[in-house]
Amino acid sequence: MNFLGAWSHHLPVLLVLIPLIGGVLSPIVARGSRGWAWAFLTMVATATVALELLLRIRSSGPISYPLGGWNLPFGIELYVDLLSAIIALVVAGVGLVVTFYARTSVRFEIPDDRFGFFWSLWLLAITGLIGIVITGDAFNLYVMLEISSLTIYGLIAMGRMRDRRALTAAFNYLILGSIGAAFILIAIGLLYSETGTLNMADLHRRLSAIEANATIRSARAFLLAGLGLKMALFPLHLWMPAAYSRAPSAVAGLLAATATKVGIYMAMRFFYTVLATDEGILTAPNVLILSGCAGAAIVFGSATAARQRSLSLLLAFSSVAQIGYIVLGMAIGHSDPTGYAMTGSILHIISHALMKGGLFLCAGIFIWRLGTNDFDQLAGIGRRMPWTSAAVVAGGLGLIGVPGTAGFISKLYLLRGLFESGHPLLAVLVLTGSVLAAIYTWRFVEIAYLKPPVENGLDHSEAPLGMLIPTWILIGASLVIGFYPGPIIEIASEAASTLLGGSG
Amino acid sequence: MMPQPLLALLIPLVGALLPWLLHRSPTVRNAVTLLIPVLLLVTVVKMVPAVLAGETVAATLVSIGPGLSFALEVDALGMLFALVTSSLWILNSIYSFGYMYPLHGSTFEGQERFWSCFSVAILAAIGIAFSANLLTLFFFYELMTFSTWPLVSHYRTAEARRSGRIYLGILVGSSTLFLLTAIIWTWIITGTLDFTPGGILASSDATPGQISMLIMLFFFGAGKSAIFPLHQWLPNAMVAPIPVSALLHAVAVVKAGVFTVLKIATSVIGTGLLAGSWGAEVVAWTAVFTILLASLIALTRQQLKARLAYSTISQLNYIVLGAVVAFPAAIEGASLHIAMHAFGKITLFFAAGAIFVASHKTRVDQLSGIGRRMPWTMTAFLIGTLSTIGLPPLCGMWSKWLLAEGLVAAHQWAFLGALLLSSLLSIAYLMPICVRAFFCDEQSDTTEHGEAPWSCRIPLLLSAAACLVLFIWPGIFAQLARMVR
Amino acid sequence: MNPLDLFNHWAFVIIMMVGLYAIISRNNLVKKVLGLGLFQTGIFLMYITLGFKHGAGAPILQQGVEATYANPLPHVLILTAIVVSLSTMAVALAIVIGIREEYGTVEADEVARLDSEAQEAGS
Repeated sequence: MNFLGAWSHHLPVLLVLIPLIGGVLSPIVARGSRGWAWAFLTMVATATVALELLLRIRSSGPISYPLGGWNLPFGIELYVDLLSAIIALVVAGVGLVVTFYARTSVRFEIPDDRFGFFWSLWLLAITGLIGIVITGDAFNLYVMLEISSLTIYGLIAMGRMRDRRALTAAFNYLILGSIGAAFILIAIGLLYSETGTLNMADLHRRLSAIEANATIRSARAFLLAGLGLKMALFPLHLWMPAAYSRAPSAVAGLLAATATKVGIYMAMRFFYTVLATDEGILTAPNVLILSGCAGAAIVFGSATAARQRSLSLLLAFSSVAQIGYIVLGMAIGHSDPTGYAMTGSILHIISHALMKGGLFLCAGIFIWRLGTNDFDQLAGIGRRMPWTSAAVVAGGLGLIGVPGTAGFISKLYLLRGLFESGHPLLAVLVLTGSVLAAIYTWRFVEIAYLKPPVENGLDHSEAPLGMLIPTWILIGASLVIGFYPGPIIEIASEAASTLLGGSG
Repeated sequence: MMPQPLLALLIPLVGALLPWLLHRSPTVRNAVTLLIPVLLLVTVVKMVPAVLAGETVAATLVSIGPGLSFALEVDALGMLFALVTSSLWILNSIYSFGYMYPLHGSTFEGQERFWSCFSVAILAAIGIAFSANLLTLFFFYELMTFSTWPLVSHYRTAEARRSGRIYLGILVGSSTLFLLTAIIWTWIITGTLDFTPGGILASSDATPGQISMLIMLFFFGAGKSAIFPLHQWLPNAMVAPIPVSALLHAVAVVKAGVFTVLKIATSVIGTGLLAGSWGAEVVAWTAVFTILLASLIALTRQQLKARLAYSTISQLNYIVLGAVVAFPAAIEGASLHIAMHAFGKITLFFAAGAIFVASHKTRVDQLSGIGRRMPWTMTAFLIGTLSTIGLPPLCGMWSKWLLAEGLVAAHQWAFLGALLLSSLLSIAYLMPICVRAFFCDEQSDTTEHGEAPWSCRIPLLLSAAACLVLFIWPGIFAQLARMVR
Repeated sequence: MNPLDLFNHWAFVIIMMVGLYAIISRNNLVKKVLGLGLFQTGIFLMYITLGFKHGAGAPILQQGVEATYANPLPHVLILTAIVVSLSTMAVALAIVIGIREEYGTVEADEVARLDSEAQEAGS
């Protein structure tokens, strides 16, 4: 597939340029109902480039792209290895599907005169998220991080038409997220002061050559705190439930699937690639803190989810727990020689993006039809909206980790990694999380299928295809991967072994 | 040419979709509901000659990773379970018409879900029977749990919801925390999950301590076998309609549990390792405790369905005991008991349902003199009782005989004593019902009622007849049981 | 090591902490935003401090003259970070304006109180 011809050399930068230009031009081009078409086309192009990039990297190895032709390590480099390409494709792919969904959902959640700005923020958020994963320069990462964060704050605030608490949710997220990003900035500054470089590969080389001193340890600490905020790791997750439940439903779907995963990617990149030394990738205190927080996230997240009264809050807390799984694999992964834990983490990034994205889209469908997704309004919905409810059940089964879903595959690998690296208690914690997930999933099942329907005069018929199809694309993909995970497992374990090899 | 095991899975899958597709034409749907089980039985029976000749029919579906795949393989034990399931599915389907329609009308609420979930449960049972490795078995095991839940909570009352939660909680909890742990541990130790005659763990370098832990995790992970303290889901599941209880307690769910246990005992752990392990001791004593406890509780239950439920718990743990004692006769007896108990118990449940349909009676103390009003039903009940107790000329005798033989060969005198004691207890909790039905006078406040409808009676009489026939010709089941190693 | 040599470091740490304190302790949303800005300004100072060299001149190339230049890179980084900070403040204040429109107040506890009242009224 070389239809891009001469441009194929520039794939990495195209991946960021296309949504960037799309976003910038959006307020001009994308007025009114044309806005969606512009955004959708941009996303199609972005996703195509991302797929092409992944295939290329799969066959011929990582791609390095110096921006502007400036020599490395002085210029800014885009460095795309397999992990970056996987996550970029997840962002672009899920983004494409959710963009399709947003066509219907945006019409009733955003005021008409704001469409152009909404799509602008949307595309710029995608730009930022993809930029984070493909950059090879630490400061450029910070810039991309802020691009994505600011646009996301704006996107969340746009939920104000439906629920004015979206504004406070966005504000709190802004404050906390900016503090987190500022911590990351401090860490980058500290690392720069020790090494004189900002290029990640170069940082790795120079950091490996010097002894760990107070500056570097402080940088690690600031990174842990800042990244913990961005990936919503317990106990720094407090911004997430409000933000995800009050945002416009398409935004929630996109964020749940991508934003925190990109945060986790940043953690993987910093700790496994930049800060990796010959003695070990993560220091013992790092591992302790990360796995402790992750374990707490799993238990606390699942338990709190079971007590929620509305579907979006339940899903948000469930995300806290699922992020705990991924971080657990990341924390333990470096001491697991077979690479199963790390592979499990990467697999779970993919599977959770699909499942949670689909689930939030379902929550959005309920909001669209019923105005709310509080459980007392959802009684008996299983009969009236069978396809939507079935999607929620299928996604929930994936969160539990029932065989036949992508969630099972990722948990299988994660558990094997935890058992093999000598952490049976953490493995039991993961299994307990599954049982708790069964409890909160079954809460929905009982309410939707076993309770008599609530009569409140609203139209309860099934969702329109424009919202149902994207939902089922995501949920269906998670089921397909559950039965046929071979190729996904291959790329995930390849990415994992590259990461564990400590190369830059 | 489609591999036959896969065809055996596809037939019930189609059966699961048809109720939804055909919900506008009930007559076609009903015809199809009876046709699908027949097709399944034919497909399963076609594979019997190959299995008896010692070949295994195999089919790999999807390869996932190192040591992981979804694959099917038909061996003797699997064929035995599949034959029991597919033959009883036909009877159960006919019976369901006879039970649900008189009680709830021919368009009863949730019909499509009812028929569809039945088919998926049978699909899961066949899948368990024909699985070639632990991963495939675990997949179908979980599928069975989730597909039978809607059947347990079919009536949607608060009690049904509660029972559904207990059902899911125990089964998903035990399978996730224990069975999955054991599977992953086995995967780590041996690098494979494929069922191997003699056991995959037998040739591994696991320590005896690890083997004992694994044994306990496996046996307590198969919650469907109703071993103490995981047995509680069974009596709670009695809130479901009788065809569901018949399915759960004779055909699919519980047999899946004990099949899992037997399969793991023979093909994962291996009878050699079981013999010397203290973990097996723990399981054995727990099974014995369950047998006796359940029998004693059965004595106290006045609700007929509850009494039968506890009887089932007791009988299932015979199979668990046979599996864990692991001498050849015990394994053979346990395998045969899968079939013999199924026929006997389904007869009892069918009879209980027939009684309810005809007279709306559910308690044992209401059944005085009912034998005169419902002679066919109660005769069948008597046959089922005798089979469960293990007396000739009913089929239940053969499996109990073999189990006893196995316990003797293993010098497990205490277990043998428990087996005999439990048989005595089963006389105590089942025979009085028959005696009362035939020899006592009716209570004065009895309403007039006759026999159950023929669509109830025919399957009932067929299964009772099977108990008799299988005594004379244990034939196919005995042959298959003998081949289980 | 003269403590006064580290004057800059003390300064930026104190500024950052004052900013953080303002974010946490102030009830008024605008003051929180100001605190955030202060916090970020402290970080700018930190970066600029990193680029300092004793006896260095401004980083402007002069033909043919050998001179020590201060490191220009942190200055460039800070320009970017200032833009980011500016954008953050803009978004934050836009959200605050929205809150003012919806709730009629910019005091955080007032907003929380109005929210819980609305919740109780609705449920």
